[in-house]
Amino acid sequence: MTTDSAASVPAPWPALSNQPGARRAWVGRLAAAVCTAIAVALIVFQERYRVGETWLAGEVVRTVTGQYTWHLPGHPVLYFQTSPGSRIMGILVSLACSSALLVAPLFLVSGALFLSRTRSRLRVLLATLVAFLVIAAANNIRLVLIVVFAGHYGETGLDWAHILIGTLVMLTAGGIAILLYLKIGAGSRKEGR
Amino acid sequence: MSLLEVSISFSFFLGLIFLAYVVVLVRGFVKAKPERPGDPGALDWHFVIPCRDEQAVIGATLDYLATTFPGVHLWVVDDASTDRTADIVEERAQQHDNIHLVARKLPEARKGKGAALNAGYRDISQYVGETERRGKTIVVVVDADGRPSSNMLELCAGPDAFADESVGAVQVEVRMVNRDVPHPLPDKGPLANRFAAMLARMQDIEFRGPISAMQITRRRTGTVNMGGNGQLNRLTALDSIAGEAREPWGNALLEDFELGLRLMLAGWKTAYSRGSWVDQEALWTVKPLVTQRTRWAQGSMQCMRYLPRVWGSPCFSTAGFLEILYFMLRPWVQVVGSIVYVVPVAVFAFNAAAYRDFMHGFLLNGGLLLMFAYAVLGVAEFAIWGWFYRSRCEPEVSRRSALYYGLSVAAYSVLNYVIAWRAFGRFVTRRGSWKKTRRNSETSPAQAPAVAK
Repeated sequence: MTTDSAASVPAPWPALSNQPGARRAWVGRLAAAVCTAIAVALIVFQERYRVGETWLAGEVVRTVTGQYTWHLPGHPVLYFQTSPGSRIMGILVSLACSSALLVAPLFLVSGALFLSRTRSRLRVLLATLVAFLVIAAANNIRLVLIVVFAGHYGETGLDWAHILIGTLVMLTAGGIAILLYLKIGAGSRKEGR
Repeated sequence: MSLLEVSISFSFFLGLIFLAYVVVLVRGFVKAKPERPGDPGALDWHFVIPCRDEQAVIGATLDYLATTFPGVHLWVVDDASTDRTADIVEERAQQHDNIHLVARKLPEARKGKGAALNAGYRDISQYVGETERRGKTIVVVVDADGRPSSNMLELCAGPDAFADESVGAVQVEVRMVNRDVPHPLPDKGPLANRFAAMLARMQDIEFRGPISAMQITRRRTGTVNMGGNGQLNRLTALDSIAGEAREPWGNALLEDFELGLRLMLAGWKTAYSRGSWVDQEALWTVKPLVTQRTRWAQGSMQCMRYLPRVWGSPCFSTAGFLEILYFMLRPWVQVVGSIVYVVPVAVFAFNAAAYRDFMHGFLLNGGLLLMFAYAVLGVAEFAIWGWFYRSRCEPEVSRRSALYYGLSVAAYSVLNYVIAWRAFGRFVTRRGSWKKTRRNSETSPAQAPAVAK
């Protein structure tokens, strides 16, 4: 408070330098730098991220369904085949099909929150990780569904899984991820109050 | 990385954020509990009514306030009006000791609403003096045509408001007094009248639906903010941010929002009352409405300068910071959104025309259902306020009308993009001067003052 004239004035906030967070400001700065670096990397190296997403989806499909999958080295392209001798199909994971640009803004916001000495860093860290994992996992599930549907129902299955089912999966998961981010990251009063 | 890919990703991301925001708003709105009343006699109430050329409404407003809230002080700040505003106030001041005229003269006058309110604050401050009652003195800002509900002081004196001594400001709900006027423009045809009546209804739904829900959510995030009408401030809270110039109100175009921010940065709690309200006049034509909202959006853009302080302040929770960040970024996001939403739609339209076979396949293999789902979701996010308006605000509204209103809210929301671009244009070209919003009676002199049912 900036006045001392009235009985109704609440007690002043403790000085920042006395707060637990203030003593380890470098931790926040480091976390913020890491978050910003991740966000920038997700944009600059988005193709590599997409290659990683494609590889993971292929591994999950192979492990869970037993379908044959191959990657085009260095490219976000996944080929698959339901059984030996059947038709080989492929999907290209474009930037619009990737979760890269969905999670990058989350890391940027988290970076800003880490810089503030009055926020709970643990909560922000947990919120960021949970939101990232939910979105990344959901997009992986979406890619897996596309491959599985395409393997079983051909191009029609690919279209339905890509256009409708996959979008609904991402819509639901994205909404849940943002609500979880808010719930975990902002669920309680700040530190030091 | 193409513009289309970036647009698809960002439009999806922005859509998700908005969807999550609506979920949070609705949850808070349906769970809101009524505020508890208190003893208004425990506090001293001083109403401030900034006026400039308000001869059409100020007399009736003073009569209403003096009758509804006997014993309160009414301070009319006349900002060098060229009509009979000052005379009307002077006449009543001679009859009632509690009515005061704060006459501002040029060249000091007409420097904005904030400057007029600061003049009122200084006079009230001097009148109250440095007594122990200062902390119990509440400054109520009401527009010249404002009609606060008769229970306002009771609820604002309660434990959810000023009975809590850490509460520095309270905002009450805003309603539109002319929401039920069927023929607001007597000199115009039936279509223009229907449109005008619907526009007034949209503003009423907007203030009592989503805006009220935002304020209710802000109770939890600790960031309830102030509006220009029905704003109550503890005098000592204003003292704490007034500085040596004795000016608690700033010079942003959104001076009320700025005041709320400054109070919160000073450590005061803010509260919102949904159980009490102030009636004001809705605008009946699009042009003044767009002008008014552009000023608000530009004011919000100006308040971005407070963001670093909010971000670093121990007075704001993480939820509070994120809420304010979202509110301040909204006009900017709408500018970006109007591009990233349009690009995929334009490409889709082009593909539909150029590659008919491909589009046929797309539509048959889930595309049609997806577009239907998007359309339902996109409209429902707004249309739900028609339903809540009926269930929570105006029970006499029929189901069919609620649906009609809801769909109209979705169409009305498109106006936000026009407003955001206008505000953006004015912001980047540094045009900051604004005329006050003209009342309906000024734009259409023939019409009689609107009266709610």
